[in-house]
Amino acid sequence: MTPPSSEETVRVMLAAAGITPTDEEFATFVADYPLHRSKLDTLYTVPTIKEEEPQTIFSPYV
Amino acid sequence: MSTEAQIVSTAIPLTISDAVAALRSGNITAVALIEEMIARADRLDSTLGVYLTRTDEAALDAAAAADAALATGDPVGPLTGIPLGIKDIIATKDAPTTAMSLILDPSFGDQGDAPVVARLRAAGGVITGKLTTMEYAIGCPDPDKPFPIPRNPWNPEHWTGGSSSGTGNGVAAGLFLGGLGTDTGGSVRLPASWCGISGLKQTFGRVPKAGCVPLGFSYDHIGPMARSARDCAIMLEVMAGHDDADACSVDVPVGHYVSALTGSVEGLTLGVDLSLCDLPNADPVNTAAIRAAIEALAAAGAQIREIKLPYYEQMCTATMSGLQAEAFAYHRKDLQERWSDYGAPTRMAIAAAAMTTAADYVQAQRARRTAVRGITEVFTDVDAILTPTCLVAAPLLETLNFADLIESICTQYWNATGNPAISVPMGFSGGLPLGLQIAGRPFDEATVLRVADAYQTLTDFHLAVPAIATEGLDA
Repeated sequence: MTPPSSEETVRVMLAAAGITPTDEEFATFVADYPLHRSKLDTLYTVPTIKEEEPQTIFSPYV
Repeated sequence: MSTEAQIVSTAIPLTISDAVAALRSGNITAVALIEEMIARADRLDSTLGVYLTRTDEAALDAAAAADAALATGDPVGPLTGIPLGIKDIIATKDAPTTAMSLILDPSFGDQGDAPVVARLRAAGGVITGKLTTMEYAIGCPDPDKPFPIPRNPWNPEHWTGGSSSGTGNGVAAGLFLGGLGTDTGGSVRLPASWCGISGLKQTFGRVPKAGCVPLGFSYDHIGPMARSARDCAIMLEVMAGHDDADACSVDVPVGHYVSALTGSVEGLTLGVDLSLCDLPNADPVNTAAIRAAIEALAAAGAQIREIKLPYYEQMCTATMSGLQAEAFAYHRKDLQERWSDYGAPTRMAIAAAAMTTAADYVQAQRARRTAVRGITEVFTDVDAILTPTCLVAAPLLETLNFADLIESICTQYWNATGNPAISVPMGFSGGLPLGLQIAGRPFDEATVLRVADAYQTLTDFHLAVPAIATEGLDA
């Protein structure tokens, strides 16, 4: 199966989020996407232990 | 002597610490100080874009009350009579809060003073008004929206840095002596660096951020900005402390930051990571300036040790992608319904998170914990870490680009890990200020401020005043 292009991916993800940028802005998102994705992928290169918990805040109390 | 020069004296203290001494000795009154600040704002604000709202009358009333308190001879708060500006994403009881946006519901400001503003007032601080920011503290200036463009007092063709732009250029130009900024990826330290002042992002949770319009919930800080590290210490002693209104507030004792300023770095080991200066966009003048700063601190008795910040690139990504995702959760509905009401740089910066997955966000938060472990290990061998604040001086407004901006700053790392970090002036490139970043262990703001203050006893970059602030005045 051919992987989706950046344009296809960005179009789907923006649509899923309900965001409708201008054509020029859409083109910018498409152009930026490969670098955006590659930077996010580096997060998975940090040697976290398998059970590392995220640094999020949750409390059963308000 | 011009009429303006008669009104606007240059004999006004540059720093909070000097102004505190002058007020207590009776060399100046709080009302005279505020009148001077008002005169400066009248002269410079239309050029520099510092204020969104000025509260001149309320400031004069507060100054008169400060003078009355000082006249009793009774103990007064540490900021009595000191003029302070507030970034306009932080709520105050006497002015609207807009986040410099057409989007924010005006009722946000109905909550009265944010806890940190209330603490400044209780300490005697005189609030002069609400200051320019980037829209919702992210992006770049947008000339298509009805808000001032913040300009650098060292050269108004250049940007101030952001997002605490009005706090940066206002302190540098002397429109107030200190103020509040916020820092989610560097928004205190960046304008501090580019405007030639000092700006502290203390440990995450040290200062309550309740009453502040959120950008990235797990990265946001409200920090002090002023000319000197000593002034930041004075402000932090007032600002710090637990408050239940902020879920991220940490209940640990507040330090004695001012008394920790020994003026010495003897006995301290300072880590330096100059690998950042090898990046292709680094200004060689900036690199030379940080090398000179390191030499000065070494000559003053600090031990210098080369270190490497663990997972540097990943933590920059964790901050930017994480804060964008958190901001997107807050803004998604408004972005869907009011896209064009947002400034273009802001909506693009936030909506980019639509291309970040839920797993990416969680992984960023997992990686942060790993990096915290790594940097904690580094801090077993060093007391503080030095890097440049940015790789370049302030860019021209007309060539400003958010993506380029992000690639030129060295601040995001410490938002990912939560450690305290300050930017202090360390020289100039092309007539524009440069910043030295000093970071420390969690809740060890005292050492960060001590190193910064010691550096400022060795140098006087923090006392340099841009020409625009003194033009037409008597020397």
